[in-house]
Amino acid sequence: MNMHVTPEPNMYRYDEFDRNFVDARVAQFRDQVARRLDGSITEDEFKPMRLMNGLYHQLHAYMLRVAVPYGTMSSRQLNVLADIADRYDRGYGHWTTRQNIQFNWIKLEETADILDRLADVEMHAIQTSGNCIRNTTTDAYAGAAADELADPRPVCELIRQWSSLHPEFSYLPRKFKIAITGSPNDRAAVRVHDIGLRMQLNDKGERGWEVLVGGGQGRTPMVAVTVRDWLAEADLLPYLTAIMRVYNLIGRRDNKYKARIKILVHEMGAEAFAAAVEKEFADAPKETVEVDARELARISSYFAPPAWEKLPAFVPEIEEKKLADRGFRQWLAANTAAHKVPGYTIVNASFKPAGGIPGDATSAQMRAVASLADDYSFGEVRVTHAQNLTLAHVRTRDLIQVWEQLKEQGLAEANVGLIGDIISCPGLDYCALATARSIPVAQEISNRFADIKKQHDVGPLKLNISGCINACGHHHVGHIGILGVDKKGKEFYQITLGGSSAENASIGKILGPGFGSEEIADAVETVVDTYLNVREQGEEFLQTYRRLGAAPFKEALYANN
Amino acid sequence: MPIIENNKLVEDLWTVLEEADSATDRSMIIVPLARLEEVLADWPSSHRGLGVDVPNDVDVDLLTPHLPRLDIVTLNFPGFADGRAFSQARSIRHTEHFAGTIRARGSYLPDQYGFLLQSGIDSFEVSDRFPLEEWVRHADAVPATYQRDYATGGLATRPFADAGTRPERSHYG
Repeated sequence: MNMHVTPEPNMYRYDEFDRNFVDARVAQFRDQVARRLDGSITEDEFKPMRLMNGLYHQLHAYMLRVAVPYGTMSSRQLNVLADIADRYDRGYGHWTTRQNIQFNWIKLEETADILDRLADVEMHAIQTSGNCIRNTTTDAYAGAAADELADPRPVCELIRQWSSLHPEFSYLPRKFKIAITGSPNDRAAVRVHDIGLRMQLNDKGERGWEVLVGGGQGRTPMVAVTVRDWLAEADLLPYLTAIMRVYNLIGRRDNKYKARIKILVHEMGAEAFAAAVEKEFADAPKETVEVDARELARISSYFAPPAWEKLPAFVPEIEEKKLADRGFRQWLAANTAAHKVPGYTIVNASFKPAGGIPGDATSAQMRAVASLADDYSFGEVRVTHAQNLTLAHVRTRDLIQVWEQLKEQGLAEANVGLIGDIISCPGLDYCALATARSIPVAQEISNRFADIKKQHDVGPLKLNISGCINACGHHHVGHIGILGVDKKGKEFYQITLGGSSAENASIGKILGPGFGSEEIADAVETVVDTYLNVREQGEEFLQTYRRLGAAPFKEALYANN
Repeated sequence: MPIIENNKLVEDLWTVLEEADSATDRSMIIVPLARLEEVLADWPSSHRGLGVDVPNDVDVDLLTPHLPRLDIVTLNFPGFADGRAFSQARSIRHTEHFAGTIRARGSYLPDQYGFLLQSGIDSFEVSDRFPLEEWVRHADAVPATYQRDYATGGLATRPFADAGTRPERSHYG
């Protein structure tokens, strides 16, 4: 393209009210930092304040987690994230599993300036940490996916506003995460969230929500239970309020590791918990239901579909390229997804190069994706749950140019949804909680499967790595999960198999004794080779595991010991 | 201890009754929840000046039948990160429409003052650690709230959609 134009994507935009709100919160945080630095408040008192603004104290430096509400951002915002990476970090950012970005080398004194810079482009770090309601996450393909009922993002934004600096729910027993899907194919992991919402249509075609509560990972992984099959959309915020109130009042506070809502649901029993919520829901006045509906209509108008063109679904030059170029064919197969509109395709930029650090992005890569978004996807970008970026609305006829430009940036590894698309926590290299390193293990496995042809032969396979039992790498829901533990000063890695965060969610089961850091990549390779040997025609890894159980994998790994 | 109401220091007119104290012939007393029914049994129905102190781990539904006879409810913050009393206050004020005083006691910070007010608390027993101005300036440190039905003390809420903020097209629903 000759001239670079920055389009305004159809996403929520601040009005004066939102702007004043965020500006005031930044000023408040600046004041809190100043009072911490001059000693008027203690570190213990400051800690929840800074956490509620996304500021962690890590092993080597402060980490600032910036909210990308439900993973949607404009190219303009992405460019500012790149500027922040250059000016305040070391030229990097890191996409998180909850669709945010974190910067790992931040100075406390500079955080308020960063927040000001973010506020310029309607961004913030509000509630990206702390014992409050966190960023609401959703399907990275929202508004574009061929299989969705409707775009869930207006409801995400409604929840973002409702949960922002909530006077009643900012000092909860523990952190609280909500995920939403508008598609029956769950790409938002709603069954492993504190609250999961699944869009449903009733017989009359009215939209409502299935409400799931009590999923989660961490030390005690659990799959959420349904407390309501169908909740009318108008009742959503009052119902969420009822859940939050029950949790805030009787969720455990005696033990940090028993404080998530999943423990409350488990200890009370799902039926008793649901009954308590229903009672609270029935008792509390609902004077704002009418207002909520108007708000949702107002918010929804921002998410109007972009100006899609009427295009042919069949593009001869793309079909020719597929036949001629195996690399392009592989990339199309793994890194793109079906769009709801003919002639458009959903494109993923893979931040999982062979041997790389999963989810790490350079400022140059951020700017390149922002520029691609401007030229090819209405100026809009998504962060995915799997730590990649998505261009949701690419014309199919532009796919070759987009692929080539992604390749130049190292973002076209054809591995999305395959074993190379590893989700990993930062592990002992950055994190103060970790008991083992995760990144070097991810890198070694990624190198081991660097052959894209082999990855495609293996097929859909989610591999997740956590460096401690807090499970930030979501190993419990990896088809193959790896958990790093410390055993007498040595790193050991346990393998779990059979986890899933999709609509058929399940928690992986530990296979057997762990492996040393020098053995773990071999062990993973053995698991994969075993699958290749025993799978039936067309059967994916998870299906094979569910059909045969752990036995063949155990046999292959432990038989000789 | 100093009491803040309406952003001013006020005289504390209430006496907190200890476990063993007699409630007879007293008024302006706050009794422990465990003694409320016993005290109310002898309390003339025309008589005002009774309050109750509620631990933060009890179900405030227990109070519901008694609220019309009470002038003050005190709620407790054993630590500033323990947010149960926010919900207790909200339930008493908003669900049960209690019109008397709700007082916060214990450990909380000026940074929480705005949230406490919005949750329905209107009286604050504070230590002498922070001056009055420090509390007052935090009342509206963020002078806007998304929670329209929690807004107190002149906090801004979003103007209604038809006041001119709504774009023209709507494709949703």
